[in-house]
Amino acid sequence: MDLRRERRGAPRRRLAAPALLALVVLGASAARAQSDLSFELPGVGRTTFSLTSTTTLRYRGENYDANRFDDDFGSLYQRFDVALQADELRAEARIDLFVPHTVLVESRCVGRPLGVDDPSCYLDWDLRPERLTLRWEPSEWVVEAGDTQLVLGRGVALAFRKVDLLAVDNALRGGHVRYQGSNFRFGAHGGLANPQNIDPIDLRIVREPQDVVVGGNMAVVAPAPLGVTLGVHALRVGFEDVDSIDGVTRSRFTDRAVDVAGWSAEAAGLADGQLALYFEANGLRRTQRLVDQARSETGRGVYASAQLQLTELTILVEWKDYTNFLVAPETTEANARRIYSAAPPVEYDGPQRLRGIGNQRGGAIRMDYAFLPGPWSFSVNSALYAFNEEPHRDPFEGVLVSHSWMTLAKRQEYGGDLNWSLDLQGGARFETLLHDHDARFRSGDIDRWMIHGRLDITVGSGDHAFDFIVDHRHEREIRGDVAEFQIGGASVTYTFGIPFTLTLSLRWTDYQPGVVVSRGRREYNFLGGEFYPSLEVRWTFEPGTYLSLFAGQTPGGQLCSGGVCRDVPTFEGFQLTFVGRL
Amino acid sequence: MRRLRLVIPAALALAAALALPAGAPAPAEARVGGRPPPFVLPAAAGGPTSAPFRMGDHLGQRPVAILFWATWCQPCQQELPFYESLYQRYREQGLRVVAISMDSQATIMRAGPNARRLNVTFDVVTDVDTRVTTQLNPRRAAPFSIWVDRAGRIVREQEGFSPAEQNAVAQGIAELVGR
Repeated sequence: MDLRRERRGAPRRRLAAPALLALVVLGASAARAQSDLSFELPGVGRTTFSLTSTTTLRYRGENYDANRFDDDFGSLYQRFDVALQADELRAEARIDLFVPHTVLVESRCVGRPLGVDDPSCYLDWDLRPERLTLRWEPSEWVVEAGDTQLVLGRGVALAFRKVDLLAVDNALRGGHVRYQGSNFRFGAHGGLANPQNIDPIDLRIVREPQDVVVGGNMAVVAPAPLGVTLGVHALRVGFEDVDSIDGVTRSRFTDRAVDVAGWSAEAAGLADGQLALYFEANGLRRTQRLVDQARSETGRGVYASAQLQLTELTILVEWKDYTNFLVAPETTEANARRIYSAAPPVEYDGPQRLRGIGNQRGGAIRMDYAFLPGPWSFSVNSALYAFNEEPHRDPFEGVLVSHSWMTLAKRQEYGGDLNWSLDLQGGARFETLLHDHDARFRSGDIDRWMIHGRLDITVGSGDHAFDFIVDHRHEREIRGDVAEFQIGGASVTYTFGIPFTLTLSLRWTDYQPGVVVSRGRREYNFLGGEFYPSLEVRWTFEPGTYLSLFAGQTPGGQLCSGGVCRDVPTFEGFQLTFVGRL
Repeated sequence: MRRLRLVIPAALALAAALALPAGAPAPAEARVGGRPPPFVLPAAAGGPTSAPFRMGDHLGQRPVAILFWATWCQPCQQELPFYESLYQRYREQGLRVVAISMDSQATIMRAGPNARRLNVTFDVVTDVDTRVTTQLNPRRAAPFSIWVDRAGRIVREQEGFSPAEQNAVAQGIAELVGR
């Protein structure tokens, strides 16, 4: 089905202007609300209305990608999060509106066909309700119809939650029943995956696949002082037979499904609360059909952690064993929106590109020491594990990862005339081949390495505060296309009380050589193609309601979270954001 | 499209006019908003408390400050110690503070120890599936604070935190407790 053709149409466009005006005015009025928006609803009782409005006016300049039709355009993006809350009932909705090409410049695509006829001219306006939920919470029960967030266990089996960095907000749209008793819990869920996947260029929501998810969980909790929780969970995901991001390209596979069953055990308060243990094991079966041939394969996902909490010392040990385990249409799924599991990576939660996230084995140890009641603390972390990008081969025939990093921190101590905090972090990461790749790269050779550091100092006095941040990482990829690159930045932020914040920032990266060269040709990039300056000003009218202006440039490249990566284009232009609450 | 190009700047101008207060900013001025749901969230392992936090036990009885934070959020590391100082000052007058960790499964085990390092003694709970976060903090801002008065009404919401706000926040909490 041609969805882009379907979106076009004169009647909808005629409705856009008055609808847009009404929506924006409604959103703005939130900032001035001073009255209690409570009222009596028959049969429901006292009900209050709340609204969060986000209005973004943006001008985007050159993206430095191959498509010249998504450069130099203005857009308006409007989001409303509205809710009605009673004692036991709650109704929620999110409304998203995107209008491109309308504010500052005429579309370059005028006279050209949209969408499939000409994929480069894809910018079009969009209005849709999202995150519709009706929730009933009588005592220990929760009954929901609509979109909900859902994580089974530690997310190894299923994780429907927002991944902020990647702008993917996963929810399961359907029916949900949960019981949360003191000693017994269970949940039953069924519906369609609804990943609100925001396009980084036009802020439009990318069309969602219609993947069907059915699952449930159950847990019993032994009473204190034992406090052990034993749980089981199971789910089935049936994947729509499309592969491409716009739903047009069909997969060569059909009838794709993943079944997962697992159990978990947790003892969070052993030894007077000093010891916390967690264990989870999952089995996976993947079935699919290629032409007339049915295929089936299995995998497993095991995660365990033990945390010892003494007065000043904390020791956390984690272990993972993910073998051919990914709740996604493919074992090597590339689309972040269709990976429905989020197994803990046990590594530094940083920007490094994790590979083979469904086929890894190894562990990590973290030690924290706080000089309590003093403000200083430090931590030492080390992770050692192997992965294999070939999902059917052992991780220890792939690549060995070793990553160590340290942190020194001083927290804020309030009460004096001058207070300050510090956070200093540094580390090194190596990937070593565990197999002979070819005649040049042999087992034992370094495949990648990275050193990284970050310093954050905040100084405050009275109504004034300064925040200085510097971060940098140097990475070398021995086998890859990009041999060596550096990514970093520095910023200073001044804050006056609640109302005013000013941030000056300079980012640098040479990760994308082609972008750097083409940026260097621009006259206004007087710092060079590798540097991205920006300024952000924010004015808070009253708590919760503010206006911010961003002007400048930010680097593109690869953003990664938990092993799932997304390519984001370079940004240059400005963005005006207004947030109001009611 | 020509009509839309005229409508949008006009709408934004109107929005700004409606939004801008007539006088100077009034950061400590309270607004009356919605009500929080009676959520129940588990304590963070290794954190300062071990029992689940039940919002229903406090709604309509005592003032509550709800803090959304995460281990990876640097301003949150500055906000939690400040609220700890306010908690110590006003706990006898009924103030409750709960810090809801927005950490994912990747970092959730660090939430409790992180709070201990910050010398926090109030409730620190986890929301791994972000269900409560979705309801109360739909923009998923971190840090994000919500004040609930003794009547169970949300009177203030604030995105972000800086030490420069300490005077205004301290004054606001004093008013919340005395209200």
